[in-house]
Amino acid sequence: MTGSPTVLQPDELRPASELAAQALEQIDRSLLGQEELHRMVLIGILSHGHILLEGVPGVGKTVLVKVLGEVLNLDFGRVQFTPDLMPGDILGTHILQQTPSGEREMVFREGPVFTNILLADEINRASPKTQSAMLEAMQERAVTLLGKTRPLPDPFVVMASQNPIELEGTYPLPEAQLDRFLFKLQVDVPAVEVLDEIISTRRRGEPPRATWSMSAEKLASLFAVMDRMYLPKAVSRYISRLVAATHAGAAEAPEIVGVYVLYGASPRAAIAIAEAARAAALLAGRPTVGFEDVRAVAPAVLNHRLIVNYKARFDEVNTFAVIDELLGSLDEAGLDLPQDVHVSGEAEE
Amino acid sequence: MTGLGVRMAAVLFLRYALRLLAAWCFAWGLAVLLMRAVWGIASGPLLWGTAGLVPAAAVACVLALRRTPSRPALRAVLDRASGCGGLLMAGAEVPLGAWHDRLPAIGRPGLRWRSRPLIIVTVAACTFLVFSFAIPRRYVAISPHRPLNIQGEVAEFREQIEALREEQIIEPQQADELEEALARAAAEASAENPAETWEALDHLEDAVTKAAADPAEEALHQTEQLGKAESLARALAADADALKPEAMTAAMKKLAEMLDEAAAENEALREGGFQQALEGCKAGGLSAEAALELAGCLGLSKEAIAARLGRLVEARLIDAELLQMNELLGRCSGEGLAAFLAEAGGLGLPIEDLIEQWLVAAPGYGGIDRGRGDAPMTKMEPARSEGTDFTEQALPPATVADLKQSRLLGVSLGAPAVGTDAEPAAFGALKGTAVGGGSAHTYVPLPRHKRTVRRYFEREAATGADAPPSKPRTSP
Repeated sequence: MTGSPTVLQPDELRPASELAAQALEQIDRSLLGQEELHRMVLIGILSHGHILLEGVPGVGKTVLVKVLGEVLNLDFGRVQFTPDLMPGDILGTHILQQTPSGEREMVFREGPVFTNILLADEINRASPKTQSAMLEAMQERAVTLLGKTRPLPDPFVVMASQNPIELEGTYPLPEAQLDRFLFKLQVDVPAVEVLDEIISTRRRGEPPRATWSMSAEKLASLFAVMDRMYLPKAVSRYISRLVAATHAGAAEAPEIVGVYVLYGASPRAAIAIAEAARAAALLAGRPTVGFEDVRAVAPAVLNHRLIVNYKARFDEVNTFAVIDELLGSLDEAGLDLPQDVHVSGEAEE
Repeated sequence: MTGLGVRMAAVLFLRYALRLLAAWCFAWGLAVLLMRAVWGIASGPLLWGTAGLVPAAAVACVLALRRTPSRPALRAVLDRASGCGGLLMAGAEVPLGAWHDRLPAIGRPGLRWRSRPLIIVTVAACTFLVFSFAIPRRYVAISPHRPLNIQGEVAEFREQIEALREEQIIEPQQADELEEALARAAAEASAENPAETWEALDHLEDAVTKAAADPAEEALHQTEQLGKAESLARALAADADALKPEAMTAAMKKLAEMLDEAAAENEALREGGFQQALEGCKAGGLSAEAALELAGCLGLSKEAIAARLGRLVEARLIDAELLQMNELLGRCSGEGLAAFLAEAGGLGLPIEDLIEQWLVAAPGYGGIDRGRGDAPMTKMEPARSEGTDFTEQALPPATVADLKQSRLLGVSLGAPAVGTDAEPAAFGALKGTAVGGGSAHTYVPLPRHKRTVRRYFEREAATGADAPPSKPRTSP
């Protein structure tokens, strides 16, 4: 997607931007204290991306998905992944059924994957066989069983969650499946003030029902606006340089990449950054993608795609530290200035 | 955007210009120092090197232009700095429409250049260049003539020449010539060719040493003469009454001869009462007091000679051993001579011979003395071998050589004769064999005997088998 040849005009952009802001407001009202997370999740959905949520139990991952379904007026399905979960339990299966005429035939019974938002709860507890059943659904947005391919509803978003603790008896997601997630977001524990507000204002912690929901037409118009968000060449160049620099040995790779990164990000990461940056620009009310949009979404896109080596584990260097260093060292404009000459980011009045 | 580009180009030009200026200043300063030191070129003509600033500026300009960011890059910088969110960048690619009026104000991004280290280096380079021009040439000149440090040797030679001059051993003119030669050698002494300098100094040393050697030898001779004369004078003064008048006259005559000889070599002796004493000696009327006074005069002369030699020793012109020898030669033994003359005078020998024998007496040459009897070593006739007989002695025969390399060629036809009176051999190959054992012992010929043995058997075959040898033989 290279963007439209013209820039969205303000009267075209404003309704979509306000729509997205209203959806975000509804989500923020239902779930307290996770505004940045909600923003990134909405960016992910607008980008047609799948999201991997990582956090300890009880921080509101399931509630978030449920609220999203209500606000965006989308079907919502949930699968609790367990070690004995089979692919047919997710994708669906054929059953022998008697027709009203008395004949018997194999009828396909859709699985929970046939929905708009699928919450794959604790996805790393399922076996690799079951996890791999999600690959086609996530990438092709279709399910093929017994030689017949069935498209999934549009939009189709997988929101998977995994618990960073209790790793015993889990199956770490393969890199191929991790790469299919647009974002990997950390769901943190709310602050004390947020917890106090939740306890004091909500009975049994149940979030208030959404007072507003987006119609399917509006959601479609939102996706249509997304397609017209303009990506300047300098920004697309910056995204390309950023992804290329995640590989050790690249010309612009900082030293930390050479030391700690085993494998860099794939081209899918560059596509994901571009898409997510468009959504970020839409939420910011701009028709064009700026460098700040790229910088905002880059950590969520890259953190699960960079594979660090054992030295990084020994030195307790995680992928976020590598990405921070990467963003700090790479000049967005691509200026090839000497080291002792520097252009400050802030303009002087 | 243009303003930012111009500022960037200016900063980059200044940066490259300073770097090139610093490099040029260091390089040119070094070249100036080198040219001034090696070729002695004056500072003024070297100012043409300032023309190097022009190409340096041109190179800096080219480098700055090549490093100046492109317009899209500058636009991206302005977009980022002004918070345009991509609108400014998109404006160059697609029409912005209504967004054009909503663009935020484009500010001037700050341009920072950490120039202090470069400025410090450049100032240092310029200072070095100025220093290379301003430093006096004598501090940078690399002289091709490196002097040889011979100050110590020159001072010593100078002292020796002065000693020779003061002691009037050499003429003042000769001393001046030596000093001139010494000064010339010191001035021309070069580390590049030290052999020449050392050779010149060797010549000087030779000349000075030779100049001092002859007077030293002469002084020794004079001291010896004076010592003998003093001994005789003191002998006459000590025991004149013990000598017969004839002997006394002869002794005085001898003393007069010695004094004449000494005075001929030492004009200083003729001063004072020496001449009067000499006349007294010649007349045979030298009193004991006059003899004693004469001895004192001679002793003083010896001391003067010793002092002169001491001066030469201090100047290292002669060895200290010569001074010791001088003391030894000038030793006075008047009492001993007097006692010798008193004892030997009655033997009827000529008094001149006695005196001469006493005076020339020296250890190792015999002489008449009551001391130890040192005698010269005399070699005897060598021993001769004529008429000497040696006792003949029979030696045991040699043992048979190793038989391992031997080969059997044949056995004699006849049976061996067994002796009856033979005794077991005490040595050789048959050592310990039983007598009359009945078996013929066969010798295996050695390789060097093969030909002889073969000839023996060939001759035997030629003469016929019916004529066997008279005696069975075995091969040797």
